[in-house]
Amino acid sequence: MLRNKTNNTDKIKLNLKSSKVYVLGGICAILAVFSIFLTIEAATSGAEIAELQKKEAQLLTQRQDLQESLVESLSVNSLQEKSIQMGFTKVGNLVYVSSSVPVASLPNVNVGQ
Amino acid sequence: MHVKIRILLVIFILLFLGLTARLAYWQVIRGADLSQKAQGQYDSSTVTSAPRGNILAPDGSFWVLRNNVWQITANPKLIKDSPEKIAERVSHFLVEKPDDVASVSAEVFRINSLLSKKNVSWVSIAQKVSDGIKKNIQAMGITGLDFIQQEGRFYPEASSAAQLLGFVGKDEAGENVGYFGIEGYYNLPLSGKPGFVAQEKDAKGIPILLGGSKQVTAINGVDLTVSVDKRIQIVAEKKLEEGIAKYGAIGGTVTIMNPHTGEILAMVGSPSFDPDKYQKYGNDYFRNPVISDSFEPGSTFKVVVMASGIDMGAITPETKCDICAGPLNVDGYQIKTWNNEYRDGSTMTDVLVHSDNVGMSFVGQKMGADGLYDYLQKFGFGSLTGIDLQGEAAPALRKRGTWSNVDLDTTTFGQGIAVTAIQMVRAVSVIANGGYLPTPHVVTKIQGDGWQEKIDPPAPIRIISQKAAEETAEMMVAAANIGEAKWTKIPGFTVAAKTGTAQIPVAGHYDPTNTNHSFIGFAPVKNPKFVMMVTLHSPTQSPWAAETAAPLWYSIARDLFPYMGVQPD
Repeated sequence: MLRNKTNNTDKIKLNLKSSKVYVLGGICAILAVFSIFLTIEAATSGAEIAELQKKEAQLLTQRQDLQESLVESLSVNSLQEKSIQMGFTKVGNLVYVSSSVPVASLPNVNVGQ
Repeated sequence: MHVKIRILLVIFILLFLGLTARLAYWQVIRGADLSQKAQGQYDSSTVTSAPRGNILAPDGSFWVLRNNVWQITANPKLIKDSPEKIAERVSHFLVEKPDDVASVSAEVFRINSLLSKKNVSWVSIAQKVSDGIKKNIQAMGITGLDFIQQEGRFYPEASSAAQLLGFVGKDEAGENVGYFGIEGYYNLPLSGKPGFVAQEKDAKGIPILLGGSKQVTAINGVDLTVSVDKRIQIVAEKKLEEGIAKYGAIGGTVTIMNPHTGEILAMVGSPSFDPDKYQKYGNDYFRNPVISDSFEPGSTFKVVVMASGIDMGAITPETKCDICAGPLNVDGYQIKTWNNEYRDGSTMTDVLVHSDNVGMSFVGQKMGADGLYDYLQKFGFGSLTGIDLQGEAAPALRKRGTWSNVDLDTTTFGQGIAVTAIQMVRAVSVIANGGYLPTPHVVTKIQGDGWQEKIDPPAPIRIISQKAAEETAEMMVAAANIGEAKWTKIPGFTVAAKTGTAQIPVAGHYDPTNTNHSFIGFAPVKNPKFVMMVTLHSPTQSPWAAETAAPLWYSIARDLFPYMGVQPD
């Protein structure tokens, strides 16, 4: 009976050892997979960043081009040409008119009335 | 059997040792060298450019805007089509006038000769090509052509204010540098500072995030806001060109300044240049004559001398000239009036109204040479005004204590002394603003990323009394109202002004046929909104400024009054 007991204890110890190994192995495997996953992610993020940088440069260029178009269309020279095309003419001799305009006086407001 | 196994074992051991030795060779002995070479492949460093700042008008619109332009390059070794055919297809986009057969042919020849150089792998076909043209050429799909983005400058008002703005060229290292005007004076803040990025990249040029990297951020160039008003500048330019043509002059200037703050509202010099095509012009066109060219001012200078004499207490507007009955003999020279008319007992106001040279000599004698010299120095003559434009010159005054009697007398009527237009405008501003010497300036604000700073010039210093300034202003009003330019004044508006017709010194004597004409004045008299000086060089239609520069001045003023809210009296 004592021998059986010893055998059982040895078996339990062996089982515990095996399960520890399995758990450790599992954790290592997860870490390894995670590590590989992160490395791949970092590598592909580099490509994404390069792509975003390229897009940023393109957008900045487009913005610059649009600003140039806007500035050109709003230039004084351009507006002068357009105004002539639209039939506007420069104001000729200005006539200044001086007159006194009658203004109604403010009503008297008595407090308490 | 054992022998065979042992032989096999020995072979394996030898192979293993060989492998180890080879690995040791590559990893230890050649390790450092290979590591360096590998680093050269994945290390990448780039200089990031700092965009150049813009130049803005007071209303927020742009005088100068940075833009994207392109350099077209080619690798002749990769050109598949015939260089001549490519040149014919591309040349129409790169000439100013595509209808001009001669220029197109010349361009075809030029491009063809570049593309035919088979022993080189890079040639530059064109620089500063606009985005539209680049897209048109790119759409042709010509193999061997490449496009490199460059930073350019866009001038929405074309060649307006060219000499004041300056232009951006290249230095010896091929870097952008501002020359003349604002671009030259403010080149450093406009340029900003380039940055630097060093990082590891893979074979495709994609950044390796887990690798090392260093970065120094580029500092963008600042934007400058100037005081030059677009509408005033363009009106002044148009009127000056009309005046030069009408009066047969070879050139001229218009300077308009706020007499209280010293802010330049307009500055025109003719002939000028196109800053977008500056390579086609000689250096003479780049100089801003308002700040760089000196001339003898003639009778416009009399107002400065009068103000000085009144402030000194040597004269008053009512002081009578007791030598004005006829010409004045000085040091063997004879000083005459411009029209040989003499008025005995003229008051100082009469002297200014009739532009009497003998009367001015009287003022000079009352002040004395040293007294006049001191006042001229106070008014800023002989020194730089400090205007923030590249290229200012300051003609020197004759040394104190070395003036002869004739030097004194001729200086009082603006001959024998050289000034720049900006010095004259600054000096007359003293009379306009009640006695303070302002510092002319152009830039009023600097803006960066998320910040801005107002630029305040040095505070004006009082150099003559308010009374002296007011009395001189009244004398100038009289000169404008009843002087020789009275025929051209604008009815209803009171203007303080003075004409000037000056002989031009040539090789030690005065040119008998050529004169410089000028007219300087300010309005409204009580609280002036502007001081303006107009100069015409060697006009041929009339010998007198009253018939050339004066009407031109009033022609510009006629447009300025409603724009600046100047009401009639």
